[in-house]
This record gives sequence, structure tokens and C-alpha cells, in this order.
Amino acid sequence: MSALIRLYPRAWRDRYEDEFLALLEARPPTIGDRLDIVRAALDARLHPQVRQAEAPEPAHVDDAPDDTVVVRRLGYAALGGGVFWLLAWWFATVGAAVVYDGYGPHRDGSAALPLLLLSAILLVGGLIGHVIVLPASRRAARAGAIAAIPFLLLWSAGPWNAWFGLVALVALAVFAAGSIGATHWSVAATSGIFGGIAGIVGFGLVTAGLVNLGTAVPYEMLLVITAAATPIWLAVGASLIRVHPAVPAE
Amino acid sequence: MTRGFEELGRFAEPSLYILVSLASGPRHGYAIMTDVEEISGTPMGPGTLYGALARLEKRGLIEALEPEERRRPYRLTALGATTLETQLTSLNGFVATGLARMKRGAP
Repeated sequence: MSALIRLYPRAWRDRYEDEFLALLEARPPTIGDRLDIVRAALDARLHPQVRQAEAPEPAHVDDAPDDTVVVRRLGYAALGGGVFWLLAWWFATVGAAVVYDGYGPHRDGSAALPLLLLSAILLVGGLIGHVIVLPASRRAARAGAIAAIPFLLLWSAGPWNAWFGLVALVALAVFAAGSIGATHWSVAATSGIFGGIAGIVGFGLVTAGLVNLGTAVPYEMLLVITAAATPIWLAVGASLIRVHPAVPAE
Repeated sequence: MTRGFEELGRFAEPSLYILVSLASGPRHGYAIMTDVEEISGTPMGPGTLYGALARLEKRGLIEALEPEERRRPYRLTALGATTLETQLTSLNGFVATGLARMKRGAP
């Protein structure tokens, strides 16, 4: 249950956590109640009703339940997602098994699909971390992160649907640009995301160009280009790991 | 609904139920939840309950009393009582108008 409570902002928890937990102990939540709590916690972040001044930071941050624990874990998850992204493209290209069937010998990259989905899920975890950390005033960045989530998942579940990927990239760009100046963010992180986007766009252009020329696509080249997108995971993950309880809210 | 209630968005209806529940005296979260379920016939989720309580408290329509162990009772403020009365009067007028029109329009 404490995991659900942690979805609420610090100020809200300082004010309501005790009585809220007492309520949940008196009436154990159903699945519907848990969904209601998640929805309300998101609402509490988007439309805060309790100001930090009404619920001052505790003197000893080490004793306090903190978003930073969750956020940092999401950061590590996003970094792990970068590894799965590389693995996915390894299995989709040079590591793809050669199969012999009615179409003759060819590489089967289907083993990459679960890895691709996993890498996207972990990146989504990182984006949720940023939605938690970003102050409400960073509307564009938060909107970009939230918009990217469904499209990343849709694209990774069916990477042949390029439009989903394109929308996700635009949303990521908005997120990266809107985060500039936030306390936990750095210009390098924005550069990493824009570089990663360039890598994916490059992948699409090179693939389309070679196919149009009737040339076989060199797998090694594709692997290098897709690896260039890894900074997206690094930027999302590393910036969350940098989040520190002592960093003041904007 | 008054302007104050319109800005509560999806929490407007739960807030009205909570105010009605508190009209008969202070109650803590669990008591409000069970009372609202009795009044409306529909359970109110804990997230919705506290989302509405936070809004009502911020707008000065209810106030928190000293906690009893970990349970904190809430009560209506004078502003909350006035607002509730205005809401119910408005709804009463709406219901009366609706029923009268149905009678006139009945085949």
C-alpha cells in the first residue's frame, strides 16, 4: 500500500498520509479502489491542493519517505532499458538467426520484439519518474512525457507502425526541450535526447534510401545507427538518478 | 451549481455528498465514505474521497479537527454550510422545474 501512497506528492502525504492509511486499514482497498488511488494521486500532482508551505519539509530528509527513492529506481530502470534497446537491435540485425524456409535463407529478427517492448516499458518508467519530479510549472515537458508514453508502447509493440514512433519522438523532443532549466535536468540530457532522435530518424532515412536503391541493407550499419539512439535512455535515466532530496522545488 | 462547485470538476459531485454527510456533524474519512455510500448507493473510492476533501478544505468549506488516534474528523465551516444550502436549494428548484415540465408534457 505504501507504494501507492508514494505516488502522491510529498506535501499531500505530509498532510493526509496518516489518516489515509488508517482509512485503508479500516477498509482494505479493492482493485477498483487502487485504480481510484492512482488516478487521484496523478490528479494531486497535476492539480496540487496542498502547498509545500503548509507541510514543511522534515528537518531530517533521511527519515522521510521520499519520492527520490522511487524516482531513482525508475532512473536505473530507464538505464537498463537502454541495454535492452541495444540487445533488441543486435537480435534484429547482426544477431538475427538465419532461417531457411520457402523464401530461401534469410534473417529472422522476431526475437528482438520482446526486447524492444521491454526497452520501451523501462523508458516509460523513466518518463513517469520525470512526471513525478518535474514541477507543475513545466507544463510542456510534462505534457511531452505523458504523450510519449502510449505512443512508445504502441510503437514498440508493432515497430512497423512508424507513425506511432514518429509521434513518440516529437513528444520526446517536447519533453527534452521543456525540461531545460529544471533543477535535475541538464543541457547535455536534452542534447542526448535530440541526438538519439536524430539516430532513429537517420535509421529510417537510411533504410528507406537503401530499399529504394534496391540495395541490401547492411546490418552493421543499421546496428550503429540504432545504437546512436541509446542516449535517449541514458538522458532519461541518468537525470533521474541525479535527483536529490535536498534539491529545492522550483 | 455555484461557481465554486464548477471549478471542482470531477470532484464536484463527491464534494456535495461529503458536505451533505458532514451536515449532521463531524465525521472522519471512513465514516464519511460509508455514509456517502448509504446516501448515494454508490461506493466512493478512497482517492476520490481525499481528492474532494483536500479541495473542500483548501476552499474553506470544511475544516479538520484534532486527530483521534490516526483518524482525523472534519466538520463543515460556516461557509461550507452556506454553500451546501445554496447548492441544495438550487438543486431543489431544478428538480421542481423538471417535474413540473414532465407533468405538463406527459401524454
